[in-house]
Amino acid sequence: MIPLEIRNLNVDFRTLRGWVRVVDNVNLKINSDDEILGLVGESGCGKSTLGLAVSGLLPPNSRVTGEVLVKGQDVVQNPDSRKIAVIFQDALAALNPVLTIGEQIAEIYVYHKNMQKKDALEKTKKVLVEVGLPDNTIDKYPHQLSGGQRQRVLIAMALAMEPDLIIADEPTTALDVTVQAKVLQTLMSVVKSRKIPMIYITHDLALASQVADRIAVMYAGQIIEIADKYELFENPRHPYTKALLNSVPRVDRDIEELFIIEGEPPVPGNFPTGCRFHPRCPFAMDKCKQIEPGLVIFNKAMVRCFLYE
Amino acid sequence: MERGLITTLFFRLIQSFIALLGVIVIIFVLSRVLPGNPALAILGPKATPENIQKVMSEWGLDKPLAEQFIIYLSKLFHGELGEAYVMGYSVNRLISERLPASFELVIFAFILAILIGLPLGIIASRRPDSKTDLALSSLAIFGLSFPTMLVGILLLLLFGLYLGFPVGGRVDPRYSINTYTGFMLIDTLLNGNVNAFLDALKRLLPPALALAIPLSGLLLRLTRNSILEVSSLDFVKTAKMKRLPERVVLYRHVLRNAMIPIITVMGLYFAVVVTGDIIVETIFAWPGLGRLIYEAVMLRDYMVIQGTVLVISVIYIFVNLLVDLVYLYLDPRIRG
Amino acid sequence: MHRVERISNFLAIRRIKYGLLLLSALALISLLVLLFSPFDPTETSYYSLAKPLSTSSRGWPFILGTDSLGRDLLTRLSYAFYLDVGVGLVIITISGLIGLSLGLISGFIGGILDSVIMRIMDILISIPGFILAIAIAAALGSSLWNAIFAVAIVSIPIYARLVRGMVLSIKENLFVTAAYEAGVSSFRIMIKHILPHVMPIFITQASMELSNAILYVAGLSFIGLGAQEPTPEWGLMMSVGRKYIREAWWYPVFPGIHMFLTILAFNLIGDGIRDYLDPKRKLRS
Repeated sequence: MIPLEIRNLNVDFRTLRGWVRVVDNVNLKINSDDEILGLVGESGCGKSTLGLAVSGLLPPNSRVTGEVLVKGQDVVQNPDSRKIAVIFQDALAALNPVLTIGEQIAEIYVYHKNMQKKDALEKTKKVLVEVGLPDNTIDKYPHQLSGGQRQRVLIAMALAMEPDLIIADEPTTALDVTVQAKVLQTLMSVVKSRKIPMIYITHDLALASQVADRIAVMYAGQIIEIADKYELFENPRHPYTKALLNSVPRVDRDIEELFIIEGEPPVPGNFPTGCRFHPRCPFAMDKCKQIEPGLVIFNKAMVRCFLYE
Repeated sequence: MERGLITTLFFRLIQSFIALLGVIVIIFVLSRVLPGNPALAILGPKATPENIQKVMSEWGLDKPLAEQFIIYLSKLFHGELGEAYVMGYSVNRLISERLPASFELVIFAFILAILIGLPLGIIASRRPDSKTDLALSSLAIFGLSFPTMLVGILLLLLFGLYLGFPVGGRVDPRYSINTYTGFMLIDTLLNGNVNAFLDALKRLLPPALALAIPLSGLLLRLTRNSILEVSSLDFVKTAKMKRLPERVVLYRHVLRNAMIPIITVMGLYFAVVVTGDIIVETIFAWPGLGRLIYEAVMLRDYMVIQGTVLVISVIYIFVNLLVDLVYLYLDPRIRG
Repeated sequence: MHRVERISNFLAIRRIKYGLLLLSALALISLLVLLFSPFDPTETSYYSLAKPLSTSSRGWPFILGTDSLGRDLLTRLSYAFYLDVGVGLVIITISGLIGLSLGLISGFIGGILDSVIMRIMDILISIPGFILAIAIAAALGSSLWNAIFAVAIVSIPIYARLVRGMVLSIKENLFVTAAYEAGVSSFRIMIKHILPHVMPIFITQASMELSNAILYVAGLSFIGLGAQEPTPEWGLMMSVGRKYIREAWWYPVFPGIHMFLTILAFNLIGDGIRDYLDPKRKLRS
């Protein structure tokens, strides 16, 4: 029983023009409890929506089809069996401003484990210390903490849920670079030590490479490449992945050319026919404009591109 | 701003104090802006030469303006609002007799408005843009567009004429009720007189409804919008993610935050209620401050009008201060 | 994002349309009545005291009945429409212009002048508007013009604060600083650069204040401080009519309904304008 299997997941949103598909036929797996899966893509590619869909936090004007199997249980069919924690990007917005940190975390223990408030607070202190915060944090309000501290609170909150899966949606993007590194370190260490599988969503491929064991690249609602991280960097297959890698200047290689991707990513509802990347792809063939490529499976990777069929 | 709680409170109190002073000055200026001898205007129909003399000496109307102000201030300091030359008695007595009636009416109306507007607003926010929501929201706009004058008269027709409720006064004068709290509803019960209680209730309900209907429309709309705005914030997602019971998410997370803008506006709503109160008391002959103003205008007793305006303003300043204090308590972000 | 704006814009425009429709209907009916009514709004008639829908001695119908002095209600209401709406417009014009000027000056010049003006505005706001209007109208004497004056004064602070707030935030803008540096006179800066940005919000506020102004004047008249007999004015008619509610319920009710419809129309328009100009309103998903 693998920790996570997503099968044929689609997310549609209702708009003035009818239903629009934002996440298209996604298949993902996390194979072991200490694996971190990176989900990388530009803004608007659907990665956050995918995260929200898996965790069941989509707004009411949406529709989810497909299966999300967490430890074998389909959480789309049985939402109540879900134990998925999400760590949001903006920690200040993600915390209730009128409750103390202690109250917000302790309530998890109170309502999930039927604990008394006193005991819940004790456990809260423990989990706060685990993420590197002093235990007097329980009496503080969110606005009294620094950005890094708040993010750690979110991590602690996720741990307190004792989840089967953690989804971290750009948790450090809003932080200063130095703070970013420390918080990331904390996140990775608690996740590994507690053996909780994690999906790490980010737009920053370099960051994903530091954190994740495997990386899935998303474009226009579809997964276009999955590979474990070394494979992805040594041997990027999809042109988009190559472009993402090349646009980050690297010290260990001569820069042949700074590969800048032309154009903008397409908006849901306005996806190009055939391969969604073809308007921006330097390798586009006639086939690409008409037919949607399927996933081609290699040993340690998958790609959605006709170059490999 | 690194202000502590005490400093914020202190400055807020000073603000109220200045407002109070300002009100006193404005009312004084208004009373002296009357062309000609103020005594004539104050006395109105009772302007005999001896009365004029009396008023002039009492208020120092022949002295320079600054001195007049001092006299006025010192009287206020002693709690004296003057004499009601036309209506008789002292202004203080008239106001203190009428104040409990207005108090009871306003509080009852507020409670009604909250009981109607708040739950309906919550219901409307559950499924935005659904038929229920559109119906309730339209109802709210309809209700709050109703001028109090019209609501009052329609309710007077409905309850007074059609349903035969008693109108005028707080309770049937044939009952003798000992005053314990000043609230007729409570006092009648304390007197053990159930018939009197029902009678008082019948007299209180129509004017209270007249006040409550526009207010509940406002509250409904405000509650609905506030809840919807808060619900779209991230921390509500966090609460849902934590799989807390729906009730807990609603009350502890959504409402506790949505209440903040609602409470803040309550102070303003108090002004709305006070405004409506004057009209409603006039229509239903409810013996409160509002009707006192009406009578004073009819009889042209300026001292009474002046005194009542001052008292109402003081109460309003006080209520606003209270609301701000509650707001300070509710929102830790302001405390610093 | 664009789609959201379009929906709420659409609903806002629809509201404005309904409001305007209602308003035009009322205005048109009143106008026609005024032009063609055989009745004089102030002519009393002993023979037609307090009658409901019926005919007068000369054969013309009293469509809405008569009041306690035998005057045709429909004719009076039609006068009242233009009177009250006119009064409302006068009030928002006066208070709006004064408030606008005060806000502009206060915001732009700043300093002690700003503090003083704002202090006065704060004090004015700390008394409920209607109460203060009563105090002013009572001091000046019971007449419609004094009521207009009173309500206008009471309405000024709203505009002043609003405009000042906007001026302060616009002042920070680069193009104002640029103009200032370039040596353009302060007055011109105010008019050409700041004013156009202030106007939309100002107009929105004014349109919402119109109903309020009408309500206040009617309220003052209701308690005897505004319009006096025989002026046809909604508040006054309802006040007098209240006394005859047993015998002639139509006397206070019809003016009330008429006023309500007019206020509703203006509220719809004002709300619609406000929603249209403020794309951030997330009332519709």
